[in-house]
Amino acid sequence: MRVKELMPGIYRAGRELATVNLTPGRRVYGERLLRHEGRELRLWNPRRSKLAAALMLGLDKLPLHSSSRVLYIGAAQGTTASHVSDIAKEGVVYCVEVSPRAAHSLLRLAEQRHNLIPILADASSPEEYAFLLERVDVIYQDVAQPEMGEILLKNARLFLRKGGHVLYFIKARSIRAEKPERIFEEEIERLRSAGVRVLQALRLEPYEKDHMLVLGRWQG
Amino acid sequence: MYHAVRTVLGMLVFSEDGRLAEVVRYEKPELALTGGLTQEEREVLERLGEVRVEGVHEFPGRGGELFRSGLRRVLEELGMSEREYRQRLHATAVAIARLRLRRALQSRDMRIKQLVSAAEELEEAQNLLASRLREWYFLHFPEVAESEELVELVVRYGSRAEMPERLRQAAESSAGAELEEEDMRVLREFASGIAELRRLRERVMGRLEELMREHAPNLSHLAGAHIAARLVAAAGSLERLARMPASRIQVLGAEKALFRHLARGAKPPKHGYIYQHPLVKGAPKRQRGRVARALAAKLAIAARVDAFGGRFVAPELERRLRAGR
Ligand SMILES: C[S@@+](CC[C@H](N)C(=O)[O-])C[C@H]1O[C@@H](n2cnc3c(N)ncnc32)[C@H](O)[C@@H]1O
Repeated sequence: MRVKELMPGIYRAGRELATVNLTPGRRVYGERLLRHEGRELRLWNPRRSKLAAALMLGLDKLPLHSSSRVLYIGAAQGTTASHVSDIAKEGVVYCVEVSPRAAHSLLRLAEQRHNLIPILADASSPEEYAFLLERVDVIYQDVAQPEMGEILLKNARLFLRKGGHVLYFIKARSIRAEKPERIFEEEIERLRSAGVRVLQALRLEPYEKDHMLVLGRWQG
Repeated sequence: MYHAVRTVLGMLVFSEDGRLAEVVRYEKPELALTGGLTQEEREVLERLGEVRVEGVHEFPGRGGELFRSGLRRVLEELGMSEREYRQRLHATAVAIARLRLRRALQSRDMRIKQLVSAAEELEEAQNLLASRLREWYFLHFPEVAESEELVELVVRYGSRAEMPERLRQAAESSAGAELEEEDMRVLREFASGIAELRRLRERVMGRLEELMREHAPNLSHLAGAHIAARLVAAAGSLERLARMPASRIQVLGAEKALFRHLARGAKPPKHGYIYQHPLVKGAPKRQRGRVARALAAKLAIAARVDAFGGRFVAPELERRLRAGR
């Protein structure tokens, strides 16, 4: 199989994506492991992870590198967060998750990954976890909740450094039952008027229905 | 004036010019950070006089801002490497997450959520199986297949020939087929299963009611325990419900129906759980919106009183609600 590095820390193995396993020998969600030039790669499934889907669909500038500081809101069991933690191996990934059920798995994952900081809290109340945070370079948010836009901006104002990036996943259906295009437009406008320069907006079909990823830069 | 922030390193106190003036270290940061100010912290605050602590006096606070944006400088001043800080942070965050997880799993909210879902699922299961029973029994005795008490009839009497006096005639002239004995045995057991599900659902609802009366007496009194429980479950917890504006409470539960509507083309919903309330249901159609709004406003108050430890004020709220104030 041909393996090549697409971006720092992200590989293409044949037709699939992969990251370098930070915890060799361990799987997170049943993904396949692969040896390559003395390293172990974890295949990254676009059907399980929206970020992988976005990369497959042409997200061209991923603002993540080996020492990124990331605030990941809506980490769930840590499927995608584990790949982000692979990429930002010398950085830190603050993972906020509100559901105790999901947080239980996340906690297990954090026990194995030194750069993954588990936070069991509601992201609409940042005062519950501000004392653990620092300025971050990236906010990644995937919460599937009606107030997702407000949650993102609230956190950006508090924690995102000027010039930092947002990766904002919008699930139209969680916001309202209306034409997704309309909702995407509104959300993009919401970001713009709050001081985000939108760099790319990407629909996630066929991997996810009525979802969009917005990549933006925080002008602060 | 000083600005302070509580962190995994302890409470950091900055002077007006942004310099680190004082550090109060914690023996167990996970406990200090999930509890109130420690004795030592209070002493320092008293000694320094004017101190604003983030999360205690203000949020966000200047102390927090100074720490978050100047982490590197703070670490330098403390003579700590970034690596060491991250290790400390990781260990503390894991410990705090464990504490919060345990606390969350212990909460009544979690049990209430499970009971609410169990009741809903039992109802769905029961409806599904009851309609199967109807079709099945139709083969044998079509004349009673639509009866409200079909489950009881089948459990109690089984075949057509065993039916009570009032159904004798229908039985004798029935267009239904004879079932083999073994079919009838299985059919009767199936019906018993449905009856058992019903009984179980009542048990679940009973327990839910008990828990809700302890957990949110005001809300339960006003909304009825079942609607109250659904509101709590939909909000995630009583506390989260208490933080919601009335307008949001009014539409809680509508999302789910909305989803059903989108997924299966069911009737589009207009309203949330509170539209099941007798006051709203019983109001003339044109007035329902207004009544629902008034009810939601009182429920919001009731939830706050319940969540933040208040007295039993529900009767007074109810009186005002009925009086239209
Ligand atoms: C679609 S899942 C995220 C999946 C994850 N990003 C991945 O790719 O592995 C959404 C998650 O957001 C969480 N969530 C929803 N609202 C939240 C909030 N206010 N604060 C924190 N987490 C939230 C949910 O509990 C759920 O686990």
